[in-house]
Amino acid sequence: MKPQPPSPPRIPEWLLGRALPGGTLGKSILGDAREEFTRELGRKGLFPARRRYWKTAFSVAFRYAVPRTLSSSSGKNPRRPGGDHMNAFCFDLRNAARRLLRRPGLTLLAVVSLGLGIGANTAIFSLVDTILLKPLPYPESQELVEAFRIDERVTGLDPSISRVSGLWAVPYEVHMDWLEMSPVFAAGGGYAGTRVTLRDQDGPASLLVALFTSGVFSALEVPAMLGRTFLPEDDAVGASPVAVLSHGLWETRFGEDPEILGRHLELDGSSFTVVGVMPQGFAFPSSEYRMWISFPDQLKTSPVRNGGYLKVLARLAPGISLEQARREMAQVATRIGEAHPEEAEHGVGLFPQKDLLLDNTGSSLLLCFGAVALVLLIACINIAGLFLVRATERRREIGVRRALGAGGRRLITQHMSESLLISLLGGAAGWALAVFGMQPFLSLMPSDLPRLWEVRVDHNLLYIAVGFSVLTGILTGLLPALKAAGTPITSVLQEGGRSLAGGRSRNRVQAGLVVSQIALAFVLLTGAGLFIRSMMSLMAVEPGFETGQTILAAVGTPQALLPSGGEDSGWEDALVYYRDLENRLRALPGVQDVGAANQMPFSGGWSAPPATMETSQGPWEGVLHVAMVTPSYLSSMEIPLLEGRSLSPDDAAGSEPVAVVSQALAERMAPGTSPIGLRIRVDTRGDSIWRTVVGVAGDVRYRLSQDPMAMAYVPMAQRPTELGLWVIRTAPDPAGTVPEVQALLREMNPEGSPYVRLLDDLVGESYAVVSARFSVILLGSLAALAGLLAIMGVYGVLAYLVQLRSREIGIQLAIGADRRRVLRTFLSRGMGMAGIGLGIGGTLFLGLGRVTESQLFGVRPWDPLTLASAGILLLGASLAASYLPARRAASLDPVEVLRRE
Amino acid sequence: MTVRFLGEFEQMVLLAVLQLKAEASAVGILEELDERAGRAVSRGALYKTLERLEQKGLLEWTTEDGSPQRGGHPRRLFAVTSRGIAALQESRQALNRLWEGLDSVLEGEGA
Repeated sequence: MKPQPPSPPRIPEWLLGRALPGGTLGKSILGDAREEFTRELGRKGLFPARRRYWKTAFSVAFRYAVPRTLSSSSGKNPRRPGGDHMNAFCFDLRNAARRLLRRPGLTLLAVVSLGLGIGANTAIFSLVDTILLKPLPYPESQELVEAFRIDERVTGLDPSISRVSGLWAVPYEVHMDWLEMSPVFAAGGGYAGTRVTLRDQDGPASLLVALFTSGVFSALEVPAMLGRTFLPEDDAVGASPVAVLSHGLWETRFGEDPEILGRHLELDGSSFTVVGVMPQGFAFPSSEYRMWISFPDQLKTSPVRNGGYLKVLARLAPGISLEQARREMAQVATRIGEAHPEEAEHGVGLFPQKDLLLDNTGSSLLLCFGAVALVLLIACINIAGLFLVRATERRREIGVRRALGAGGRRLITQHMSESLLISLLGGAAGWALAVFGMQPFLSLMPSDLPRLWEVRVDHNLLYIAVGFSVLTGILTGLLPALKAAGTPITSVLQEGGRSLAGGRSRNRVQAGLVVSQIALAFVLLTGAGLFIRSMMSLMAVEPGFETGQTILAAVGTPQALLPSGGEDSGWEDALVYYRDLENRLRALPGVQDVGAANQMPFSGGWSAPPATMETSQGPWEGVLHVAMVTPSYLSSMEIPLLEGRSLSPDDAAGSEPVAVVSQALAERMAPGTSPIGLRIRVDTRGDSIWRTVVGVAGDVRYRLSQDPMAMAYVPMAQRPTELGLWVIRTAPDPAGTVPEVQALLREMNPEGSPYVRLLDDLVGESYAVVSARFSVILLGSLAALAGLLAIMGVYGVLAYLVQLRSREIGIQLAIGADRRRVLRTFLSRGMGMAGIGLGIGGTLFLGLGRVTESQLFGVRPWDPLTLASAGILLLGASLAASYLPARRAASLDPVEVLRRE
Repeated sequence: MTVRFLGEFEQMVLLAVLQLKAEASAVGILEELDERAGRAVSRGALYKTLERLEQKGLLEWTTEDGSPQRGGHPRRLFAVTSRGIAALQESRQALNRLWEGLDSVLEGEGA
């Protein structure tokens, strides 16, 4: 038997049949729709054909049915039971619209709260979906990993990111070893971000670019849109420098010039040949990078194995699991340790790229999503409460209509049409909010939020949210409608107009809804309060040094001045250069103090060499954070000296080797006593000089959210190394000095690309602060929304109650009731609801607070101050919301009210 | 009476009907508009426009019996009336007059 060809979906077919006029016209249109369905089926398959049919049905039904029902010249009488159903439904909708318009305030309240709920949900879920759920925009992105240097003595072998104390970038040389020695990678390479100045006929432009080896492109597996990406030949020493442009840069700077390939660009004075343009949307490491360039020879040939600036991205070879790769890399680290004993304690940390990108953004996003879902829940409760009130109000009308012979089914559809209309309007408002509010919303997000540039409004999500709201409308409309249809006629009519306020049970349901809104809002408000407190305590953390009026400049040293072996001797030229640079910086107008170090807080990873030290309890071995500094570094950072003396220019190469230790290290060396006179030996470069502690300096923090580090400062002259970080303390206006610093650095080292920032900005942008700000903005706005919705709920219910009971109140007032008492009755009713809500919310929070714990800093989830402030805030707002209707009740004019009845 | 103004969409529909000659069904018109003018048209809008053009006397239709492909429903075949042709010509002339002398400006812009 021949299988029956698929037929069009039945619901839209029915809709079409209802909506279209009869006769040839209607039939021919039905036929057209059928014909299109059959054609689409043959061309594209069942699903597109069905979608086409649905679209046609809606479009045609909209054009034919809506004008017909809206024009009252319709031939049939839709009021008559058994008339055209479609018409009756449209009639109901029209009627519902009229009723809603008669109460614009309440309608607006319902529509706005639903719109806000839907809009916020869609926006946040789009964010969560893009950042957490969607795979990265690279083929087989789950195979991408990043490799870091970690310290096994600190972290052990626990591979979870949260346990790793530091993920260190590596030098070029080390990354080459990793990639060459490991068979577990299909492709891999190193990359690093830098800022360069592009000079061409359009003038200079400062661009954030990424240095890439060819392996990074091969690992990402994204081909160039124009030309090519880097080839292994480009990595060779002596290869001519090449660049690949981002689509954005190609578009804005080069006007989408198709002849761009082969053009030479001057970047920081060197010539790069453009070999390719990446497709739109390619953004690695992030969308801020405008161009990818090959590594300069001086970096490729640098023998330095300590410190480092490179991140390593690799793609696991087919069939290799992350666990296998980790085991293999541990062996690679062991072999490297055998060849370079000073690196024996360095391990290789291997992490899925996505985990790194998200770090702990993930849990804070999920938290936000939970918060947003609560907001939608509150909005839906709002709507439910509203419909319940309206159902109460219409009991009498319905009784009359049933008495006149209206069928139960008609009454139900009539009831539901109203709730349906509200949810449709709310859905539309939410849609508009999501579509037009998304960009402003995203601009509030911290710009380094991973994958932010990929976020778009997800229309599927929007449909789901709107569908959800319609469902709410139907459900909340259905319950009172069924009740209304089932109420015995006589009981309603017998009530007359007297107890319009509805039965006690109905009031209780209504109050219950408001109470649950308050409870949920309280949970959200408390959560937001905690994050605000957490951010405040982060901001209040003293980093241990003065950040105001200080410029941080990161700059390389001219290659020619550095010792060719990169080791212990041959530093004379570099030292002269550093002294010269320091003097010239000091000579700049406004500069008060200048110091330099090879590493410092908030400026990237720390290397921690193994060290041995004498302590009051005997010798100690471990890793130690050591900074090589100029004598004035501590004073330029305003790190206080607590004991002994600071470093001085007299601590030169030939004099006694000394060190200053931080308070935390002093505690470790000599708990309760003074560490001065004890000795430290840093065991790298085969250097085994004992250095005597001469002073104790205040603690500094590497990150705001971490405890101060135990560290030692060693005079640069006694242990020369490349100084890359310059601290320049200036008179009132540091920003004004930045250009001069920049110009001087360029003049001193034309090959280097100096990175000059205000220390204040650097600390402000540190991860802890940014992520705290993110949580505060998101949760704060959601909590404000939730609070607003809940308060609107309190107001709405009380206002309705006052209106419905105005007759009763009028009579009470007429027979001499005290107006203040009426006021008090309503106020206490509102406050009662708020109070119970707070109680329930508080209990809820005790259970839920735990989930926020890992996100907080310096504040416990059950912080009494936060709980109390959130409670007082909500109570105050509820009081205000109850006061307006209560006052209206108390100022009713009895004569006027009774006359109206 | 001549119809003085034809909307852009009305013109497109009439022209599509003319292009299709004797085979101008609604589905054909949709495809013609999609292919030639690159315009995805809402079905409701098209039927309403066809109805309006017929009421203005610019278009007429005949019916043809339905095929199984159409679920047995009849098919309407549209044809442009002489008034429709006149209206199209008038619109074109009006546009031509407006275009006159602007070639250099617009070509310079568009190139």
